[in-house]
Amino acid sequence: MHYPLWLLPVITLLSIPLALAEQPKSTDPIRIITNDWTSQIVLAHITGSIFKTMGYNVAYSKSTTNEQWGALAAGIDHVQVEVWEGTMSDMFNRMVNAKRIADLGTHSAKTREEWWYPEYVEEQCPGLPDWKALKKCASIFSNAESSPSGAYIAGPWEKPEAARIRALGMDFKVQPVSNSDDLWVALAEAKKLNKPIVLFNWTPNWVEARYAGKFIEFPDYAPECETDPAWGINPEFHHDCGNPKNGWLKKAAWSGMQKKWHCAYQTLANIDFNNAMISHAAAQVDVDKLSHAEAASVWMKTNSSLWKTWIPEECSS
Amino acid sequence: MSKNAAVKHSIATQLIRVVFAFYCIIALSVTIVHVVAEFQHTKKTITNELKSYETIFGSVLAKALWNLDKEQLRDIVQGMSNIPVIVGIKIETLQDNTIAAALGYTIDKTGQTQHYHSLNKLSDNTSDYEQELFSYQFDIHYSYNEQLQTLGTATLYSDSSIILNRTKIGFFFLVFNAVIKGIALWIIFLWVGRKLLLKPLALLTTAINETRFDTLEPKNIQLDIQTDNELKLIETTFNAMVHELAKSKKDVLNFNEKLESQIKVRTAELEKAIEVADEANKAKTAFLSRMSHELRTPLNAIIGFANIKQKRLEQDASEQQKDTTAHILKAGRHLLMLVDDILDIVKLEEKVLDFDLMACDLNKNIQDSINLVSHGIEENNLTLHYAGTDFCILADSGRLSQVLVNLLTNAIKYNKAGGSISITVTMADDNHIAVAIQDTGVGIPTNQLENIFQPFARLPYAQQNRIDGTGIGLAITLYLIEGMGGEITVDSTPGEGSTFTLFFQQATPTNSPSER
Repeated sequence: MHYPLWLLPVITLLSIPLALAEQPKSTDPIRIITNDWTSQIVLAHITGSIFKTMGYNVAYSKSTTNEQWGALAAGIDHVQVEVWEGTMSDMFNRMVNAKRIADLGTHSAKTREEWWYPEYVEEQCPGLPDWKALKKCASIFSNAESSPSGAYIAGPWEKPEAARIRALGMDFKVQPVSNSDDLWVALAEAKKLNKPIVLFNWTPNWVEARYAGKFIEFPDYAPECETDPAWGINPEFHHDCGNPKNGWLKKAAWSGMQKKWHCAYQTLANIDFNNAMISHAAAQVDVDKLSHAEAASVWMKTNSSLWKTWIPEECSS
Repeated sequence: MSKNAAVKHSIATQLIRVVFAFYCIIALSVTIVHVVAEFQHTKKTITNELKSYETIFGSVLAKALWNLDKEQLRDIVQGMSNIPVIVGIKIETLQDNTIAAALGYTIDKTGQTQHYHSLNKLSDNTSDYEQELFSYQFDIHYSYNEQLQTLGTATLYSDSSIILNRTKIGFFFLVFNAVIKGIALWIIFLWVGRKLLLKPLALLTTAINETRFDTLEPKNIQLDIQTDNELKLIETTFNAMVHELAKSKKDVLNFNEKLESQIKVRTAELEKAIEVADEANKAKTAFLSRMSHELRTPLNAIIGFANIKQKRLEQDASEQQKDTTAHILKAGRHLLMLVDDILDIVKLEEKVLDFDLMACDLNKNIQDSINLVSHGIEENNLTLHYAGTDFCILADSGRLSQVLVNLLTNAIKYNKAGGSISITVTMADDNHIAVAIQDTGVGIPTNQLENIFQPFARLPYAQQNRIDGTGIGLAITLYLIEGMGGEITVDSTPGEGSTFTLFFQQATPTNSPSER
């Protein structure tokens, strides 16, 4: 049988999508890390739901931000949908440089983790959000445990807050909560009593959708702040600065994922959330009391036109 | 043996040497075993110590590996390197169950440090020196979601220098202890050996060496031993023995002295007795000599006159007168022969016989002797066999004839009726002549052979059969033979006869006479 020569390039071009498509798919579950804050868990479920629509098996792996890196590097877990620059950039960069995990791109959302106060506190402590004003009126933030020093309600994560307090000479004591939800309980009680409060918060988070407030403006962050004591306003100590502002929010994956689950890998690279999307999704859990899976399902339904665009055409079934 | 040699070869010195040599061997063996056991024990302790660092560093190593935190790993390795027992550390990471990288260092024999710089670098092959080190290796586990993940291995190295450093003081004191013990033991052995053995034994051996019967004194040796041991027993026994010997010596000396005095008395008595006996013998000899001389004179007169009387009676006298005269003559001659024999014995005892040795015609002497005894041969109806001879011998012709007559007379007297007598002359050897006179008589009992040459010894046969004789014939014969330088032997079978053989030195007819 003889075919005309012009059919050869046509057949080749038509064959490209088929070649790019993952054939056959691994039946091993893609293990998506879930941490202990709402937005991350909801985004993990949304990502998992997208993978499931693509025909992948998905499992969720509860981990901490400290332990997740080794799991990703070893291929025990495979996907992390929220990598915060402020708290995870060092480990993320180390793993990427070691080619043990893959950088799957940046969300549109900008991140910040910092001391935060509800807006009404500005009346009680004029000069906020400047950290110097906070330093002056530290005593109004005191409570039974911290008195006479002010109390800083910290999250359940290990962060150099005490070092910062020491470096900036602030009269505060760190009072960490055991669960992130306790932060919002403390916030709600303070607001109810119109009591001054300063606590750990971040963006994107549902809080910004429900409470008006601002981050404390500490001296601007620079990497040297963490490595060179001479840098900054206190030449004797590290951490005499705030956390990075407008930090990136990235996605990370096991380095072997591209080969094993190629379409999922490409889809994850395309996934992109902005601050509003993340805050809204988190609010559905923390405020509307949906479960993480339910919030993800709601988001999937209401944003189907969006997430379908994240799936490469060659991976669409 | 000199004193030094005696000390060198003494039992005490040998005992000390042998015991000390065995002690040294045993002490050396025990010390070596101790050192080796201490070395092994310390090695085990250090290995256990290395093992304990698994507990201390395992979790932080796991965390650092889990987070790929090279800075932390280096800090941990740096911290571990400050542990004295660790001479090397190697952290190997696993990726897909294979070693992906190594971090750490080891120090080889030359002191060079081999580094494992990067977790991104594949591990080098294990060096030979690493194989010589002893190490403890443990897996680095990280618990993630309640499941242990093996991230790699940590190998902690140590070597024998660490063990030696840890044990060198102990080893030094161990060896020092052994040496001090050895020296102390040697000194103690030497002192004790000298005091308990060497000195007492030296005193004892000196005392034994100096103990002579001639110079024996009843003195004690003092070994200066307070304990009742073997040496004390030897000391006591030796002293007792010396005392007993001294006493015995004294007794012996006393006995000898007494014996000598007794011997002197007895000797004097014997000398006196001999003197008396000699005097008596001389008196006897003089008496016999005088008596014989006094007897010969009348006997010669009787025989002479009897001969004359016999010749006068040959023609006219009656037979009775002739017989009477013949009896007188016979009795006179017999009596003269007895007197001559007694005189010979006397001379023999006085040793006054003279011998005139010269070359004698043996045949003539034999013939003359045969003639002298022919009357007896005829009377006893005997047969004489003699073939004659040409030999000459060195002898006194008269004494030779006397000997031959004596022997022939005995051969006649003791022969059987109708018997025979044979005279045979032969060469005994190159220089000597043997003259054998053989009879067929009664023979001589074996137990009498050794007595027949004794003076006055007579055979029982002669006494029982009243054969004439004084028993001094053979004694005179022996004396005469020996006086002429000859020898005589006898061979006899009772009932068959006897053979007397004479040996003389051969002489040539020209031999000049010589005196003896």
